[in-house]
Amino acid sequence: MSWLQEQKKAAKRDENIVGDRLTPETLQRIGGIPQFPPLAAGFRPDGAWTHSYRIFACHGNVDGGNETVGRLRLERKPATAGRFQLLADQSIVHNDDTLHTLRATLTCENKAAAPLVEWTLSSRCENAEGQPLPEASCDESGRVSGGSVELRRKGGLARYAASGLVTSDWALFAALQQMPFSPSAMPPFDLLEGLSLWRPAHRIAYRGTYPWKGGGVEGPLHWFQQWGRGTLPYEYWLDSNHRLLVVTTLSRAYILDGRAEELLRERRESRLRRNRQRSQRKKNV
Amino acid sequence: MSKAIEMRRREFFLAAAGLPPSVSRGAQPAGRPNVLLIITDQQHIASIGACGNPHVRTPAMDHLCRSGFRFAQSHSTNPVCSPARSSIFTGRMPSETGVTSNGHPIRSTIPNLGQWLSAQAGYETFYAGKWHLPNSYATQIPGFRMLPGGIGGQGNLGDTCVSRACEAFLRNRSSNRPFLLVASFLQPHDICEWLRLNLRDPGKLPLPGIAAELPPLPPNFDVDPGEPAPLRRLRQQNEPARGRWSREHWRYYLWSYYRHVEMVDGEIQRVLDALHDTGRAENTLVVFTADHGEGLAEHQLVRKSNSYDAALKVPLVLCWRDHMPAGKSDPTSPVSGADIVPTVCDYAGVKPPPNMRGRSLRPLVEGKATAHDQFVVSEIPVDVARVVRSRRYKYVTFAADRTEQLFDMTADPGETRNLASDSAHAAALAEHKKLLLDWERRLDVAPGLPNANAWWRQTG
Repeated sequence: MSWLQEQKKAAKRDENIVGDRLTPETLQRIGGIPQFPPLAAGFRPDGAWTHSYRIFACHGNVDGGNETVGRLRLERKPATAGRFQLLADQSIVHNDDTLHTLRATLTCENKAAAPLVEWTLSSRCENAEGQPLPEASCDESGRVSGGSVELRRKGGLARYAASGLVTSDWALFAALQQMPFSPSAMPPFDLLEGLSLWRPAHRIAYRGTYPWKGGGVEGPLHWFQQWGRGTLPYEYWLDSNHRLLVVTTLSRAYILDGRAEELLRERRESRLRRNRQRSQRKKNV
Repeated sequence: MSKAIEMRRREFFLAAAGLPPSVSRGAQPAGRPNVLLIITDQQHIASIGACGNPHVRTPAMDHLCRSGFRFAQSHSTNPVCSPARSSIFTGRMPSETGVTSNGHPIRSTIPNLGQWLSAQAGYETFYAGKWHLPNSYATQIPGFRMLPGGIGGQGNLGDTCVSRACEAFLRNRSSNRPFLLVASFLQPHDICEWLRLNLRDPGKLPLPGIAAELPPLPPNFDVDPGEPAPLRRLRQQNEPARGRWSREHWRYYLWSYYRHVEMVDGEIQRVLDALHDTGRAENTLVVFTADHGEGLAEHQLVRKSNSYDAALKVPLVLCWRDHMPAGKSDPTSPVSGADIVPTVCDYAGVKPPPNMRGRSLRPLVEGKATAHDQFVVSEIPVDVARVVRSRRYKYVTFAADRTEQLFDMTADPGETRNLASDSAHAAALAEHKKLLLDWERRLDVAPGLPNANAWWRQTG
């Protein structure tokens, strides 16, 4: 192959590489942005709301391997004493057709970074036939008290010394909606990702406006970045109503989508149908 | 095939068919430890805090290093996922297992560790996570019961289910029979996705806030203009060359890689916590390793599939509380993924399968004099190159390029001065060619192996 041919081949190959980190613009380029749901009447970031996000995975190629693998549903309920409750329900379909679901109830302080007060979490799996796998189940609970985090699990208690505020990725989805669109800094915090993985020394910064037109939303979005130990950076884009539309980290994105639940169900059911057909074929053979 | 080998294979198949030759099911043979084999994917050997790396925070891996025994010269048998994994699970070289590249199954005549321990020693054997022999995530693996979870190319999404499944297994288990549990994580392999999503250098740091945290470039960042053509070609195909990366983008890549390692460290912590909470740490041998390394900007390379140490060397830690010295390491002995099966069998009190290419590392852990090979061989991949690593030297030969490499790894651990044409090292060169020739002649290579005779031709 000549040098020129090699160059042409490489250029063609690179055309199919996304090449830039996931943002609303790159997601739009690879077909990841749906029609965002209309703003709910009376939406207030500090009120009661429910948001469903499609969990979208990108392998870095423009025209292949990008797919919705799950959904995250968050429901915020105001509570007393300067707190709020957040119900998180995340389901992901895995390659072996396991459906892994994390359900959590969090109590958070209603202030910057939504610091965690206490929570309960369950981890459940269903197999490729839709049957629950009790042996793969875990339950845990935790609380933050006096600068220390306690995680209670079957058979054990883990303690982490917190350097300051402690929050979780799900709580931040709610907290970001109450952040001012200005360079005012959120204090540093430690992150308990998925309410269990300790990721210390995180920061969030407001990065200004982000030109945008798409998915039924027009006008600049507002852009935040979060970085620290233990995870790739998270980036957040909100509309002018402080509604969180898109979150990206590494090769996954959470995209506000009224059809998130339906897409998860469709994906799950199509795979279960395929598995039933396969096992029927095997029986017939 | 010799009669002895034939007999051992017959015993194996009888056992695998549910007729173990020497162990009755249900009873736990006294003294057999549980085995927890933790595998990460594409982890550079130095990407652990306890190894002196100040740019990464890895409390779980640090704990294993500090409470176990670490091998500082641990090599992959092949710096590509499937071939390397075939060695980890069989103790054989990839050219023998038939796993010549990604997505091939292990030859059916060669038992894997799960088949062997269940058949020979009554272990209950469980597998969670990436397999890749042939499928990345399998619903069935011979010799193992499957635990759920895992998403190809998305360790950041799938590894949590893998660690949760392992945690649930440990916390919910009531049986006293010894078990082998494989916790096979995909991270930090997601760096491959990162490379595709950061191919283009944006010309400025995407996260201004991390400017002061960017790790420096490695001392061996520069490229040897005389290096063999296959290495130069590989570099040209990699993202940094295609995206014309600045030095800052290279450093951003290093910073990002370490975050991938930290992600999987958290998942490992979850499994270790469950082991500890259930009181099993005292009777469980933990083996921690990776299938292959990551370029990490050394020689301006990313990913794997090459002969430099960044791609070839992997973490290897053995940890069994009160049964081996804590916090010790072997800084010089070359070991490889092929040593894992015989080592686990040794601690489990089981004779290893026939034709092991690796050796038990137990004598090295126990500080006993050993006849352990003073060298290891790696296949780069199966048909491109061979590496022979002795305590002092590293010899590299290529099937399609006459340029050889010889590095004095004591004086030049960064592999920056090729001594292959230096007459002062001619004896070492000849000695390593002879080691390779003898090694290759012993192998029972899989039928249809590409370039099977290349190494004999060059070295003979």
